[in-house]
Amino acid sequence: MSASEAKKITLKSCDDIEFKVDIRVASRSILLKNMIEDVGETDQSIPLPNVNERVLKKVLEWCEHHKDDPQPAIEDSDTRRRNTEIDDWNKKFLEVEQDMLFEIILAANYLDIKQLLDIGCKTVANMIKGKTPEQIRETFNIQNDFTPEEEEQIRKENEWAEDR
Amino acid sequence: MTVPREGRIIRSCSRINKSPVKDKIHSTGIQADEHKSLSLPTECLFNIFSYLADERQSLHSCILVNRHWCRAAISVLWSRPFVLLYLKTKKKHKSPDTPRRGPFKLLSMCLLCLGHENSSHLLLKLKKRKGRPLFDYLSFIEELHVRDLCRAVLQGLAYKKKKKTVRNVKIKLDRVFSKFVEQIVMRVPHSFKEDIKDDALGGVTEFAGTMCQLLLDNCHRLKTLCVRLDIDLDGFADPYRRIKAYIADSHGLSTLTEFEWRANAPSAELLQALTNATSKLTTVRVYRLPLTSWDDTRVGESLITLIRAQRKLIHFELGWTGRDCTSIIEALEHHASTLQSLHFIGVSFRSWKPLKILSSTIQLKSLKFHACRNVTAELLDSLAHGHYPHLTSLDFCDTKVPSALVEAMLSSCGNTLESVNLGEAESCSYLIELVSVLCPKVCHFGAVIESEDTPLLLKYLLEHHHMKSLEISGPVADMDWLFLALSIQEFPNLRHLTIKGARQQISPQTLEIFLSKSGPPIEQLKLVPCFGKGECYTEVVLRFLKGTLKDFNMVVTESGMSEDLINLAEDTIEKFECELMWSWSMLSRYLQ
Repeated sequence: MSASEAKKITLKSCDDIEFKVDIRVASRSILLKNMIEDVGETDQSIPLPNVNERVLKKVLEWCEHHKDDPQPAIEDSDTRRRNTEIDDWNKKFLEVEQDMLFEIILAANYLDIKQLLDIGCKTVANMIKGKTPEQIRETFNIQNDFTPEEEEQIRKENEWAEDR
Repeated sequence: MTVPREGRIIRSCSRINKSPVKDKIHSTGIQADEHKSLSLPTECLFNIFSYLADERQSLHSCILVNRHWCRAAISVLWSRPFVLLYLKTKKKHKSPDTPRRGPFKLLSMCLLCLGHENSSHLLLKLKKRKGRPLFDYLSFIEELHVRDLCRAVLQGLAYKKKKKTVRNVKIKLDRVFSKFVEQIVMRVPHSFKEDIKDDALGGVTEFAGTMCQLLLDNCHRLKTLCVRLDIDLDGFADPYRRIKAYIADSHGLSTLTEFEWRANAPSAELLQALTNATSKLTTVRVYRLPLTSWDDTRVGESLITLIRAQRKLIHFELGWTGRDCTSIIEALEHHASTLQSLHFIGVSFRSWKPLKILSSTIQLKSLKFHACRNVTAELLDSLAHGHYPHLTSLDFCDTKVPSALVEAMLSSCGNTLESVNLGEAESCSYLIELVSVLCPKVCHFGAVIESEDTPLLLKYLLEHHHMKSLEISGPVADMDWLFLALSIQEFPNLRHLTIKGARQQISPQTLEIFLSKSGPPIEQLKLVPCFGKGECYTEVVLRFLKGTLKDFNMVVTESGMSEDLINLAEDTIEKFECELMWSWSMLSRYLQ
């Protein structure tokens, strides 16, 4: 086995597609990084039961592009609050169908890829900004499951936050 | 519906498979629905909503989407309600501080959550409401600014009075309360104590004081407490004076991690009470330490005790004082190995001893001297002996620092720096060259430049067109020339631009050329001063930055911008401020 091959691991999506990946790329995922550190290098593929081929391919594309980035520092709440900007590459990367966007967020959450999770969440947050409840439901195809009484009570109890 | 009395946190956990999110709503009275069209778990929704923490209206929409969204958004909306209440929104009010429903409604809900036994006497002053709230909203509050609370009490009570007026024309709006709102909130400087009836004053201060006490006692997740005494009214200072007693009595402050204290009047007792209440502070910000009565009031000693009593201080900021605070900084040495940011704002260092602590702050990420005076080589001598492998921000904005010191810092930390403001350092051209060579990651840049520095700054900016923010001050620099020359290059990431103090300010025509050709997606723009009424600048900005600009601040030399244009700007830009350069002294400050 050559040195370059030794640095690769195999990931298996939930639909049984295998991806041979550079360890440096896979280590953008804290879940995989910890797993590799615990188990050591292995020829066996690592099953990812929560991620399908289509999404895993996309996530690995992100990891490949960001493989040399420093690991993110823990930000305080103030920094998070103010920083909603997304750089051009990431913005373009997330110009995908809404289903795919949510699946990327779920995969990033599952694989513990904080930066990818954050830009996914920022993208959704930007889609919410300035919308009414009805517009949000339409945008994300959400069903309103409040009873009329509940909705009225929530509205009343939070009247202070209404913009008027 | 049952009322939840225990605090409920919908916090993110790192892995879905390890920590499946359980519906915690059962204890709240709203039952979770099986069907969820949007299959994001609560932890992801919470993460999304945390990016909307300043968007009151959007959060309000989110809580009304469905049950799943409501559970995640409600805790963000209520994490700092009194702060959100006063964040500017696009919707205009006739006057920003006329009595509003919001404060009244918020106070009513807080009182309902406090329970009848605690707040019945206060509820009587507002409005009797039956039923109990769906959520224990107080358990979500993480941030409390006493000033915002007092402001809400003033406006809430004023609104109540106004409602009475509407209902019954015979009762006129109480002059006392309108005066309160007008003069305290709008900060009209003259004294009006003689206009105020004692009972009315006592009523408001008692209300505010009691609310403050009840919230400190019942907000069990409070992380940030901000005590600011910058309201120029003796009577209303009462809640502030008594806050030391509230803190001493409170059982809910052990979660506090952030404390901001702006005090015109000293209060050693407040600091002592806080020292006894918590040792978990990670952030301390202290502003306007008194120049007089230092020893009498033991404020300095109390602050030192507070700092020493904390286990791990990470951020410390000292602002607006001319007092020698060497002993306070020495107390920080206890935390030298954990300090990540050390900020001085508007501090005069005359008669201070050297800042020895700087030689051992190895974790330092941000060092700021903003608008400081008497920053000498001797004061910062220890910078040369320190090692700062994590330093990403070095900010000497509007501060004159010896060039040799700046050079030494750029040489030793250039690789990690992402944000550099050279301030008023001499040899600016040379330092710009150093930044260009030694600091490849810099994307936030600022400096005070002279005419002869302009060509080098131009060269630097043309080579580093991925800059995210730029702050240029230059009394004699020709901004028009600079920005015309810059317009040959695109600036695709430039989101913050500040140009101030320029005698030859960028003209509206040049601004138009720069914005149209360079295409910066500017979100925050500050122009000081703008000669004339500022109408041309506003028109250009509205034409070219309509999609991106959130905050536009300019100081104009003539009043009289048309109402229509002001309305259009206020409707288009989230925060639009057009301030008149009100005096020659202000003008000369910018133009000297």
